[in-house]
Amino acid sequence: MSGLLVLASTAGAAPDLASSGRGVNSNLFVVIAASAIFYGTPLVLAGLGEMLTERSGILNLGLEGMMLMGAVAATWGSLNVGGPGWFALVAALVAAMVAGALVACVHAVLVIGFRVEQIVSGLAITILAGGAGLSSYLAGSWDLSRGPVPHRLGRFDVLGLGDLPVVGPLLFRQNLLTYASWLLVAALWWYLFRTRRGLHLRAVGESPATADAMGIPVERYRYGHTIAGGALAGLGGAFFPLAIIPLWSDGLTGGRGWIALALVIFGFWRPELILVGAYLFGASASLGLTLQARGVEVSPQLLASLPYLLTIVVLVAVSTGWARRRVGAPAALGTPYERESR
Amino acid sequence: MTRNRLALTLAAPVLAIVVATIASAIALVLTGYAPGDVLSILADQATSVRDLLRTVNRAGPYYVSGVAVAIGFKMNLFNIGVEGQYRLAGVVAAAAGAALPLPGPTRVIGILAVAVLVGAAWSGLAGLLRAYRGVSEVIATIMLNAIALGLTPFLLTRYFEDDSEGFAVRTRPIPSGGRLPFLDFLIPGGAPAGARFNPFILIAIAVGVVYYVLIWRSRFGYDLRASGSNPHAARASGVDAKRMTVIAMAISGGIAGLVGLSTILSTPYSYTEESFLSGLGFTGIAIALLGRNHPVGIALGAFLWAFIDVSRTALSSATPPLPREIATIMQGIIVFSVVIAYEVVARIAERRDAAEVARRTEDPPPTTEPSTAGAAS
Repeated sequence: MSGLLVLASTAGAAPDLASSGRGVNSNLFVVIAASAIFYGTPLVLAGLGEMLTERSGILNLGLEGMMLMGAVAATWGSLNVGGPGWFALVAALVAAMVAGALVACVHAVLVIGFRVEQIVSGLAITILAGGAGLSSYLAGSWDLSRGPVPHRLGRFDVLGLGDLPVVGPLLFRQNLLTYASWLLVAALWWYLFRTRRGLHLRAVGESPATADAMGIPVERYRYGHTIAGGALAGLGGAFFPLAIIPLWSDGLTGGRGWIALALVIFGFWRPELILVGAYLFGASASLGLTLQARGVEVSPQLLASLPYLLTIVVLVAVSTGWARRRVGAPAALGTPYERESR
Repeated sequence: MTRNRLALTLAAPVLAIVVATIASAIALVLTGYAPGDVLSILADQATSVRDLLRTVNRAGPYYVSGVAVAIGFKMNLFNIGVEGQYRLAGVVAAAAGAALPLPGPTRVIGILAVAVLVGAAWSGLAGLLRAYRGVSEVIATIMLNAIALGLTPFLLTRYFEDDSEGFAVRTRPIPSGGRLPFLDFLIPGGAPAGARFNPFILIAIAVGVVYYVLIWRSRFGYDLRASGSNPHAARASGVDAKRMTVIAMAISGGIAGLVGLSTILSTPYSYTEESFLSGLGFTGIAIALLGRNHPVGIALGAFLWAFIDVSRTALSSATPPLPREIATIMQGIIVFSVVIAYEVVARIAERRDAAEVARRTEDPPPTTEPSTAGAAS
C-alpha cells in the first residue's frame, strides 16, 4: 500500500500530451482531459479484467501483483526481444498478458481448486508478487533497470486528425493500447449482454447452483474468466513501462491495482461505466500536477485522495434501496461453489 | 479421537513448514542460487544477539498489526485498512504528544489514547458504512487507506510540522515525560554495539493480553466470536449484529492505531516520513493468517516474519551477494503454504468427523456426500 504514495510522483513522468497543440488544444481542460485518458488506460484494462473475474463470482484482490508482473514481463520483452520494433512491442505485450495470466492461474487454483478464502489468496498474491517481492526480484535478476525500454507505445496520430480542436488530442492522439482499450470496452459489453456465453457467465456469477443445473460448466467458466482477467491486468501493467515510465523502478504501478478494484464497484460491473470511472481517476491524478505547473495552489495529496472519497460517496449513494435492486454485485461474488453443498 | 485431533492440529503448521522450505529451495535453485547459502545465513542470524534483538524490535509492531487484523477476522470482518489507520493515528498522536499539556509520564497515556481514538474513528467509519449502508468493509477500508495516505502528509506539512530546526519534515519532538526508556538492561551481557531494545515490545505484550482476555474471557468476546461463526444464531440470542460490526471494527482500528508508536514513544520521538514504519498494515494481514488469529500464534508469526526481514541485510552483504527479494519471496511462499495447509487439513478433519458421526449413529450415511455434514457446522 505504500505504493500509493508513489502515485503522485510517478504521474509527473508522463509526456505533456498537448504540448504540440496550439490555441484551444493547450487549454487547461483539454490538457487534463487528454492526460486523464492517457493515465486512465491502464485502469480501464485492469478494471475490465477484474470485472470479468468478478462476473464469474471470483474476487481477485491480487490485481496489483498481476499488474506488476505484467509490467516486469513487458519491460523484459521490450529490452530483450530482437527484431523490428513492432515485433518486440508485440512480444512485450504478449509476455505481459502471459505473466498476468500465470499469476491469475495460481489464484484460480487456490480459490476454485482448494477453495481457499478468496480475499486471503488475493492478498497473499499481492504480497508475493507485489512491489517488494517477485516482481522486484525478477527485475533485479534480469537487470531491467539498466536503461529505459527501447520500444515504447508512442502517440499514434490517426489519419492526421490529431490537430483537430479539442477532439484531436482526446481521441486521435493517444497510443495504440488506448485505442485497443476502447475496442475492448465495446467487445466486452457485447460479450456480456449480447452473447449466450456472456449470459452464462452472468448466471455463474449470480447463482452457480442454478447455472450448474442448466448444464453450464461453472468451474470452467470461473477458471477461464479469472485467467483472462489476469491477462488483462498484466496488459494494464505493461502500459507503465511501455508508455508512462520507461525506466524500470520497483513497484512502478504505484497502487493502481487497488484503484482498478474500486473502479469495478464504481462502474457497477459494466464495461462502459468502468471506462468513465477510469478517466475520472486518471483526471484526478493529472489535475494536481497540471494545476501546480500553472501556479495554482492546491495540495496534490488531497487531490489524489479525491477519487477515493468519491468512490465511498458513490457506494453510499447506491446503497439506497432503489439502486441496490438495480445495480448489484454478482450475487455469488466471493463464495466458493461446491456441488451439492446445499 | 483426541489424539487424532491433536495430530491434525499440528499437521497443518508442520505441513506448511515442509512445503514452504521445499518451495523456497526450488525457487532458489531455479534462479541459480544455492539454498545452502541462504540457510547458513539464517542459521548465523539465529545465534547472533544483535540480529535477534533487531528481530524482536521489528516483531513488536508486526504483532500489534497482526492482532488488529485478527480481531476483525474473529468476526469475519476484513480490516484491510490497518495501514491507513496507524499512519493517521501516528501523525496525530505524535503532534498531540508534543502539544498536550500533560504532566510527567501521563503524557505516555495521552499519546496512547490519542492513537487509539484516531485509529478507532478511522476504522469505525468503515464499520458504520458496512453496518448501516451495506458497503463492503474490504472496499471501504481500501478507500480509507488511500485517503489516509494523502491526508497524513497533508496534515504533517500543513499543520504539524516543526519549523524550529533543520530541513527535515517532522513533528515537534515528544517531551521527556512521553518517552519510554530503552530496555537494554534486560539483555544478558548488555546490549551489543549499535543496537537498543525498543520498549515498544511492552505495548505489544499488553495488546496480546488484552486481546486474549477480551476475545476469549469476556461476554463481549463470546458475542463477537458467535457473530463471526454463526450470525443467525447470534442474532437469535439477542446480539445486535450491526452494533457488533461497528464496535469490532473500531476496536480493530484502535489497536491498529498503536502500530506505529515505536518511533514516537522511542527514537526519534517524532513523526517523520523516513523513520515512521510503513507497510505494516499488509504485513499484519499475513501475520494474522500465519498465527490463525491466536495470540500466541500471531506472536510466532510476527517473530518469523521479522526474522526473515532482518536476513535481508545479511543476504545482500553475503559473498557472492544474494538478492534481498528472496526474503520477500520466502515470506510469500510461507503465507501460501500456511493457507493451503490449513485448508487441506480442515478438509480432512471435516471428512473424518463426518465419518465418525456416521459410525456412531450407526446409520447408513445419508444420500448427500459425507463432507457436507461438516460444512454445515
